Amino acid sequence: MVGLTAWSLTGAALILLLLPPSLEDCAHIRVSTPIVRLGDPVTASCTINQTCSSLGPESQIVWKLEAELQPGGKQQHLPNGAQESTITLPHLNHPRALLSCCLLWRGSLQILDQAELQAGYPPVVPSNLSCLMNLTTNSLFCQWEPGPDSYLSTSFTLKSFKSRENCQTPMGSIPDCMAEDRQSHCSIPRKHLQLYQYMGIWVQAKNALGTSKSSQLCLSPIDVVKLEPPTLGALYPSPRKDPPQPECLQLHWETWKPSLYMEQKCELRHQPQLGEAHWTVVSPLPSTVPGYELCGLLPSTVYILQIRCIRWPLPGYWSNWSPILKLVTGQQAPTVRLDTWWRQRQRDPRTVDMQLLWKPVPLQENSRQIQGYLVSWQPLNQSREARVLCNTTKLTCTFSLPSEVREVVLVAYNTGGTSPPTRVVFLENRGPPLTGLHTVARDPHSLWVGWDLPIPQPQGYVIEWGLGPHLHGDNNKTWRLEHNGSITGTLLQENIRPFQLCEITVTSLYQDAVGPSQNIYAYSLEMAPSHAPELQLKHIGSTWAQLEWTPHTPELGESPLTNYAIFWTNAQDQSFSTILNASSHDFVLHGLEPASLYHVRLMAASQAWTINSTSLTLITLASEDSLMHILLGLIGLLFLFICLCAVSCFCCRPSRKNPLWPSIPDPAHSSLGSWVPVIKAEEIFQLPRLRDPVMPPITKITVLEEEENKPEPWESNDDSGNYNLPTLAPGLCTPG
Amino acid sequence: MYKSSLELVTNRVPSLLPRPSAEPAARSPMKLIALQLLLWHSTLWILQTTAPLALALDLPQNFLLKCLEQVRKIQADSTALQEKLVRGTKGSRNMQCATHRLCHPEELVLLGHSLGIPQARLSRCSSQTLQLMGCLDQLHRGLFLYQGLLQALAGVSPELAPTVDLLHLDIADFATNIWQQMEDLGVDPAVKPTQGTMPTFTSAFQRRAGGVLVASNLQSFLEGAYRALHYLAEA
Repeated sequence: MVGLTAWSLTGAALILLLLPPSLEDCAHIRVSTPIVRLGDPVTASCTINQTCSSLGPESQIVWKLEAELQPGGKQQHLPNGAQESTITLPHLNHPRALLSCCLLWRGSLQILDQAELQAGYPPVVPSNLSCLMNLTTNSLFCQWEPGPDSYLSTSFTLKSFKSRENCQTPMGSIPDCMAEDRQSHCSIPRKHLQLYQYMGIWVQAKNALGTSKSSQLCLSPIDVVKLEPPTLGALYPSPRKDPPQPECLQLHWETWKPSLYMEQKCELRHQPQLGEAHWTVVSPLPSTVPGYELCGLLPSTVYILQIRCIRWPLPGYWSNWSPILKLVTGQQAPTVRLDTWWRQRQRDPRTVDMQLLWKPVPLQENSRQIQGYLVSWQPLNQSREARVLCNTTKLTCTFSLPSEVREVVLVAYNTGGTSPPTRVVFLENRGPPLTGLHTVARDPHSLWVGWDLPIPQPQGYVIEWGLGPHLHGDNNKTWRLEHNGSITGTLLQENIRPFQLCEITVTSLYQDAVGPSQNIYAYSLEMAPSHAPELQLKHIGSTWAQLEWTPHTPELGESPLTNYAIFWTNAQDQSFSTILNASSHDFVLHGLEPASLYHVRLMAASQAWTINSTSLTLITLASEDSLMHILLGLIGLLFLFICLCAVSCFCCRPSRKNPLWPSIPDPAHSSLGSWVPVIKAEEIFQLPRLRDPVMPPITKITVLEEEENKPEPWESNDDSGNYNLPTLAPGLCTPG
Repeated sequence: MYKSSLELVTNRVPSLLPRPSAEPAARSPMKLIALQLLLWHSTLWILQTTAPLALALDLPQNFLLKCLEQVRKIQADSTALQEKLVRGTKGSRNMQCATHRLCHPEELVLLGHSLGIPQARLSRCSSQTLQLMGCLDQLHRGLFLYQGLLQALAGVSPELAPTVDLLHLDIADFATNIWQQMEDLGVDPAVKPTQGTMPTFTSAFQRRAGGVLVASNLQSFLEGAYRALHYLAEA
């Protein structure tokens, strides 16, 4: 590699030495127009002077555009002895390209001169010219859209003149504002402006192919002023003043100083920080306010606020919104109604254990800011301070009271104050009882509880409900206070679960008493038993099978059984079924094929559910003809076996000199006795039908005692019973 | 212009008064004369009270609002110049006052006379004797005068140059605005005012004191201009 590089350098040096002096002088390219519209033709000529005669009189001039050779050069001898080649490139499609004039010299192409060609478009008319008076830089900032690239160097100049209204007549010149390279904005400094006089402004774009002008703006610089937003802040109340209202915020803002001399109007916008709230705009507001109270807000809420201003009533542009200010409104005392109920238990003759329950019902939106509850008791002696029984965040409280105390006070509180006090009077249980209590299940998670309207009409009702009966104690009960005494029922939708017994207690409330509580139990949805009765095979024959099961006793929450259905399927997947009364507990399947496999399934059904038992697989006994054939075959085999034994005894007698087979030692007295397998007679027996590959694996085998136990109607009269077949081919059943 | 206003007012007056019955008037010529006198006086009174309104009607509200804004802007510039002249750019006001003793412009009245620093007049802009065209002319002449004084102060100090330049530009803008309005109303003088002889400040003290005086005089001039323009705008 190094050698090659050295040779190349040496060659180049030799070429330079051998070339005539100052090749650049001896050739020259002339281009008709160095900058053309993209796609337009370009004509160029290359002249080689006579002084370069050492290159040879007939040297051929070759053209290259970038790296590509360009055919079509017309070469001619000029009268002064020089050679000239002229070429016309029909379409110049490159924004920039180098055109080279070359010469073939000693086998290599030598570049004699180059010219840069440029192609592009005239400038597009700049659009969207807009100007803003910037008081920070004290200049008129104008910007525009230059349009698509012209591929040529294009200068943008902001031109303007002083004028009167409508900008029809120029009344004074303003120096041009030259945009920096590739920038589409320019700022006219204050010293060239008359702030309160009209001026005409436009943008001129210029490149080698032409000039274009934007449409003219006519404006007074101060009328397009864009201010900076004021500084917005919170005004913290002095300790001597009353605390601010929870729905109000104290604000102040200061005008941006360079715009102090302008009359302005401002607008403030605010929204709660969380949620998808929309901005609320307060307008118009003065530009400087030492203190402003913004009210109508939500208590205990984080608000984000922004302000902006505009020159007004004279024209101008809105400033940007100020940076976000986050403020939190104060807390409002809880405005809730407290529904109460109680449960009491006499601890001893003097003391009552009381469980007070309550529920806050918001009276206003966003009034649920409760930090806790206070239950207090005012002793009869009014001079003594109220005794606090509970201070809790829960919705219940248990305390002991003297038996004679029949009233406590409950309030909800937060940092904003306390709610109006709720008097809780423990009324005596002497009202008339509620009658006609009934329930209707609406859906698995709701129950309607109804009652007859008592006379006199109560003021309201308390409904308590929960899992029953008394499974989880009173603490897990849900309760509700119905304030309308004229209703005769209500829908319970909380804490109701399907298949679970619900205990509902309704108590009527009167002016100065409560009625006795009435209970009812109900289900929103009754359930199916956890499992169906188990199917068992009682007896089996060759064409019948007697099945039995233990009926399921319905438990609480289970609807009663209406019927059973039995389904059985043979090996050919033929299905059969029958429906039985709910009182049935056994059934005989008739018409079965002998020695066949059956799958049996029991289905128990109620109005609300159905449940399937596990599947039972059974094989009926073989028929008598088949048994005879098997028996004859076995006798034949036995006879053949006896014959073989006789022959072997004859051949193995010790008196014979040459026994038919060598003498074998007694296995009982050799070590082989430990490994020779013992074949038991019962393992020889196989039931070919049981090798049916479709038969499921047998997990349980029931051996029936005897065929004689079968019921009378299916008693066999055949003598084949003497063979005691059931012991040989027992009926099999497998719980699948 | 005034004529039309007067006509407007006098046409309106009869309708404001109950039409007297001809018969009693014939019976009592003295009463008729008294009534005419009363009518004449009331016409004069109405004319006096409505004169500013008539003046203001001839000036566009937009122009007056712009003028007021320009006055406030120049006042802000002038205040900035005064602060820099008195306080300097580094130390506190008290220290500079103690150093240069130029805290009170009223102590420089005599020096102002000797230096030849003129004061612009706004006698025609007083609410009592307000003459719209005369007031505009005085405003323009006054602003023209302060342009010249600021030019004379141009070399007072490099630190003050930007403030003086800005003040000069804003005053020039205001003067142009008023001149164009006069042109629009057709009451512009046939010849534009020319700058008279401007004072020459020969020492650093004179430049400092001259600056304080010019800024102070300008503030007074602007206060008068603001009052007049505000009066017109409110009318």
